[in-house]
Amino acid sequence: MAWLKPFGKKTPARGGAAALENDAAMERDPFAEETPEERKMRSRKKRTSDTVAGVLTWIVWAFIFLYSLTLIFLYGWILMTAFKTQFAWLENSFGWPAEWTFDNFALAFREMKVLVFSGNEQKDVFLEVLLLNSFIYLVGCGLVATIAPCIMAYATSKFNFAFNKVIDGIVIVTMILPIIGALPSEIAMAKTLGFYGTFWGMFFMKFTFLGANYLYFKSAFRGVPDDYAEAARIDGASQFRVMLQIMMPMVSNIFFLILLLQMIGFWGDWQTPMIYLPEYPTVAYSLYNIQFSTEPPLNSKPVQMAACVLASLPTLVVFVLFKNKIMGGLAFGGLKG
Amino acid sequence: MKQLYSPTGRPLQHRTIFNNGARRREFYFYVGLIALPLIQFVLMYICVNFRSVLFVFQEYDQASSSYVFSWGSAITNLVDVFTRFSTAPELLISWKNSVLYYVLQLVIITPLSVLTSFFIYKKLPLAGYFRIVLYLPNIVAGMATVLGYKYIVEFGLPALFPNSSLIQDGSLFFNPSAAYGTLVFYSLWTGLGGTLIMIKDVMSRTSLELIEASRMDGVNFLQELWHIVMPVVYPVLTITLYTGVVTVFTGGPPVYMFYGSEAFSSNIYTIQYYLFTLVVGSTASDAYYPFAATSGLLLTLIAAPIVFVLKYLFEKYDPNEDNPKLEKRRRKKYGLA
Repeated sequence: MAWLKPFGKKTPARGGAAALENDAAMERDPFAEETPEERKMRSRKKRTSDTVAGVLTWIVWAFIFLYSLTLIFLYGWILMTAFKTQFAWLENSFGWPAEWTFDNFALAFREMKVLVFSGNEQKDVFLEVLLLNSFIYLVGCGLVATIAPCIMAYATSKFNFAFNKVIDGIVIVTMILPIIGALPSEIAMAKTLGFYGTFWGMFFMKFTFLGANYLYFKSAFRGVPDDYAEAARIDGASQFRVMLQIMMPMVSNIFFLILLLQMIGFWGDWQTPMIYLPEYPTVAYSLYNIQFSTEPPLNSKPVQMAACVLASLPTLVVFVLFKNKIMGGLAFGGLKG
Repeated sequence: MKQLYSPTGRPLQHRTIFNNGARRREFYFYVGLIALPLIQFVLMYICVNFRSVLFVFQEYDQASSSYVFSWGSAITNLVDVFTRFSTAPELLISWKNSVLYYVLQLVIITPLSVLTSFFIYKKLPLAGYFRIVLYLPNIVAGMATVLGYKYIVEFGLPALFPNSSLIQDGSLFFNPSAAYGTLVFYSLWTGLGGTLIMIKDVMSRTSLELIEASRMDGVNFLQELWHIVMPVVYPVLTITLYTGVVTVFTGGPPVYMFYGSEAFSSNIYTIQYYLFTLVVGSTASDAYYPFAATSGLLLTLIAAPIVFVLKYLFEKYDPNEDNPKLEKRRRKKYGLA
């Protein structure tokens, strides 16, 4: 514990920058007798610094508490508005509803639609199709966006080939410096390759190993000992079987968590379907669209709020069910490039 | 490569794909695993960026509805980008808005995220409640939060402050001088929870012995954060900081979510929004693709050195004991080198 200073005029530090400052103070003899005045002074300084730290801590805590209340107010207000009649909303948009109604939910469920242009035709896509599109989009994209970094991380952490370094380098460099403004080229390429406007094309586009998930998986696979795999190989198991039946179950927790987070992300993603799947609008896109709606009943704010509540339900249910898993977070190391 | 020997002293051959069947099978499996993600990377990253470069040398021919290649187009596109980025009023505002947003994120959200994560990590009162409530904007459908905020501002504020000069056309969203601030406030308000889990997770890696030792030395709450926990968070935090530089050009408040492609005033433009609306929405046109792609590439060239210089500096001043540069500086300072 060389970094701990005996008389604590400055706070003991683990880290170098602070330790560097402390090093100067270390030049005095650490075993020299402390005079009563020095002890008194040190004690007073410490009391003051503790009081200031305590007050600051609670001020910040109070600020965060108030901030959290504003978020609760926002979501509470959305929920309350969803149960209001249109008349009650117009009369008092912030007041407690005199009469609670479920009609908005029924209306949102029945009337939620997106106008789609297909060639020279235009058609309304209603909620059942929106839900189906969302389901295909989030399951398909969620799976491919999880599998790609997973198998890539498995390959680079369990097989010793020189190309592993290239793959690691690609991931780190693209994370540090993504190319700006690649959207026009991406759309042009998607159109050229026939990916534009199809779910299969979308899945291929999302089958990318780039990003932090690769590092999470790599960290997880590095933590899995090779002993079981070696034993299985000696017993004649193929590489594929070792990967699928021995290695994958060992990282199933992290796989499931990343899949879950991906799916939550894709459920709320309205922009990608808007750009690449114009004929397959999703629920999230319909929510984006609803705010510009001018025809009743979708232009009614309580109906819009009811639609928001309905669209948020699936992710909220998933969150409640897997709260501990999601909030447990992901651990990874070796991110430094 | 180091030469290995058998117990009898015979030089051992390294297992390569050319002299060992098992190694060869490993290699085939390895190639099978990485092939598809690599093809995806080549098509959707290398080719996409190559397409961006190609756009620099192309112009859109309205008559044939196709892109025409010519060396002269590069000069036209580059001059166009330089002229517009330095003289067009909406782009000058975009520069200002984008940088302002990045700075505000940096000085408000980053410290608050660290503090809140620390409170949760230290299990201060209501830590569990903070953990969930602050993460809510990431769980609830994004558009629900947007619509809730939008209608609170549009209907709530005029009711609360009917005579305010800030509210024009019934809303802050339609006051050119207040609209961007309203959008930034939304992003800051809902953005605190984004990195919460990750930072808290990194904090939980702090050595318990170190915390115990510091407590015995009377370290207070904020000193523990600054001297003990911050060096642990430092690598991850600095990565988010220097990779965040790119968000000046790719991020910003969600203007498109609130206004679609036809924002009422150029006062709320960001660089991201400006480039995005050239490519997506009712204001987009295939003719703008070369300009957008050229701008993106040039902005990447601006961002790249900044990112790498910041990366170098952050790594140089990494206060962790395993930082070789820190050791070097200490040795130099005390004349030990």
